[in-house]
Amino acid sequence: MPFTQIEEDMIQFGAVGSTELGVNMRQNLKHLSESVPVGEIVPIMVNIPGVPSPDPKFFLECNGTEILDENSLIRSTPGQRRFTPNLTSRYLKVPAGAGQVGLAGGSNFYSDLEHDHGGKTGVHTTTSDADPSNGTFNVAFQHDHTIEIDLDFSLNMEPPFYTLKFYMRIN
Amino acid sequence: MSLPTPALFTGHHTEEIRALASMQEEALKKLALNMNYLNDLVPIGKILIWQENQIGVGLLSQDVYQRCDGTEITHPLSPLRTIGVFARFTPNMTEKYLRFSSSKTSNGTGGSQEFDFTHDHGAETGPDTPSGPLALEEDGDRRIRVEHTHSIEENLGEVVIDFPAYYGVGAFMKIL
Repeated sequence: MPFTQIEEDMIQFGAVGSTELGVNMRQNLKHLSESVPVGEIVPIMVNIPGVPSPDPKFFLECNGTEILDENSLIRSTPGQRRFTPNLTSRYLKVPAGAGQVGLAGGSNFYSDLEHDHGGKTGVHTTTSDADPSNGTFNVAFQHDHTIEIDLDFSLNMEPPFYTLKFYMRIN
Repeated sequence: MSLPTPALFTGHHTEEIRALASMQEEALKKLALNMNYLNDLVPIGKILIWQENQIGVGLLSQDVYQRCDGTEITHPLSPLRTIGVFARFTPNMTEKYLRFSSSKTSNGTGGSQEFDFTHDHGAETGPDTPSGPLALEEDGDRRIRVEHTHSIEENLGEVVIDFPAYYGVGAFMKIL
């Protein structure tokens, strides 16, 4: 059910509409609770003066820390340790399927730009322009040709970014 | 005295609602206003980033959120729903990174992970005259130095690059 905005004139002590008001409020609370589900990842600008630290009862930093809060439905159990996702230095990406949520990948550095232009370089021998009729012959002349390298082998290819702290709702 | 924040959200029963009638008007008003306030904090259209595969997180309410995969919004109570011929859809964020836009009207997509690195080092290496030993004409050796070049192929064409480092998250839009 959608949230029902409660107007001031709906609140009249002893009025006929009290039960309706109560029902609306109950539905509103349910709606609000469902709007902020456990597992939500929230970016918070904690570095701004005045922004309070997120209440660890509700939010844990997404740095791979273990979830130990005894009230959390996603806490570690004796048989299985559970952690917040480690989003350190990672960008958020919506994967192709829900089954891939929680998987990390990619790299901020790309180091596979090494490549080959073919052709001949290095020491080799000439093989052309022999003309026995005028007394010239092909003979091995060792020499080489150089090709300049023009790409680094490891590039930081991160897009422009702004760093934030991410927290996961655990309760 | 302020009340302590509860650790968990607990639903309300009908009996409790009836008891609301005995609440003082001022307290009831405050409760309602707080509720309105909280609702404004989670506006329709909000994108929920959700760790949906975490064990224990439960299910997301289909009445409130819809996955951002380009599907049509058909919930009969949603103000974002398709109306008549005006079909409306959630944004399709599949295989996309999330990027802040400074424009209110910009909900666009862009970028690519496929890059064309085709480049040219020149059609051929420069002319080179071998620098070997001179012809030993006295021995009947008539070697000559021949100017020549070698062609260079183009390489490193279209490449799919898996960057930057990412973490897969679920994205949902609040539709109600």
